[in-house]
Amino acid sequence: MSNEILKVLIVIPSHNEEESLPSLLDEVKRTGCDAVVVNDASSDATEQVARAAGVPVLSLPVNLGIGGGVQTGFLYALRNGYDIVVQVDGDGQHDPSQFQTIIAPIVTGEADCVIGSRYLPKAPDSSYSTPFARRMGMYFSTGILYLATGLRVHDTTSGFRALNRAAFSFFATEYPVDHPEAEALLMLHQAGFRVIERPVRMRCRSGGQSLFTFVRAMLYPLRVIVGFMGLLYKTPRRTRA
Amino acid sequence: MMSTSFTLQSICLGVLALLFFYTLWLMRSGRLNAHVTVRWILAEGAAFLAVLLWQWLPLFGFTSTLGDRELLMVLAVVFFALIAFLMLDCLVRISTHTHQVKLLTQELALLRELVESGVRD
Repeated sequence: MSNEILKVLIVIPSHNEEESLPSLLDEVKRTGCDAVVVNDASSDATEQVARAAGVPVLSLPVNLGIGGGVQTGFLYALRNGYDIVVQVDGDGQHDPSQFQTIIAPIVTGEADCVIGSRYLPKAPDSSYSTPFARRMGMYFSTGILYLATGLRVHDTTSGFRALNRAAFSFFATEYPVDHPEAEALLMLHQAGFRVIERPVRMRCRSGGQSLFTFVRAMLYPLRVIVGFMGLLYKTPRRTRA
Repeated sequence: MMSTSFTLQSICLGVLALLFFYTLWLMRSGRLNAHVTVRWILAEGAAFLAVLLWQWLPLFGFTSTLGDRELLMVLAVVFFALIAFLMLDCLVRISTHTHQVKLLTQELALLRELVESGVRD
């Protein structure tokens, strides 16, 4: 498969990211890929900033959290005939110049979902400083994902991901809500999708505020356990028509 | 002169009656869904009957063997289970509505973008 004939959409979930969006959208435009900003009920000028940059905006009237926002992007991609979705955080941490690194295994058919990873043992991003609480939460979700599935993912909380059409179509019908990254990996594994990691470098936030606060970090292990139990013991449920 | 148990029984029945009328008022004013109201009224009716007939209920006959503390514990557990059941019923409805709100929110955002892209073109 050639990358040139595949339609790639960059999905940028954003909540109060007016400071970081302009430079990020400039970089995204230079890649030549289509992009869509999912404005998750921001109280600042996120929507106006994105529109001024000429990027389509999916403006959610009420806050759905990162999971609901990302899923809206998947729905947009599905209904507009895209082949690959790249998920990029609106805070500017993910470098658009590295899109090819995570898209390449999808194009070659090597994987259905590729995670841009900071912590691969062979190529760690030594320049990236992870807050202690977040690192603990990530170790926890990495461990519990391994115990539940045998899948070893080093950067479970990375929001820098690429998915092929089958994978994002799957997520368009059902996607976890708060801090969905680890649960999403479990869902992909359960459904038989292939997940791999590729080393990437990430930047520090250029603006806005992280959703991963200290309190949330403390509750994260419990949230992950409950979420995993829900997925492991769930019965088939409704899907979007 | 009224006995202590009769006084306590009257106070309990009064409180339950107030709760019952408050529930009805919530339903009549449209703040409480009829589906949920029925279950709460059934629960309140059961509590009302339990207080009204407490002297003849077998549970209260255990006081001589269980003792006051144990009886209170049994009552607390039964009460908690009843409330938990009703709360879970409400949480199921809240979860369903949350899911529906999410779907509507997403569809609204997608439709707005579709309309605006039509205007742009």
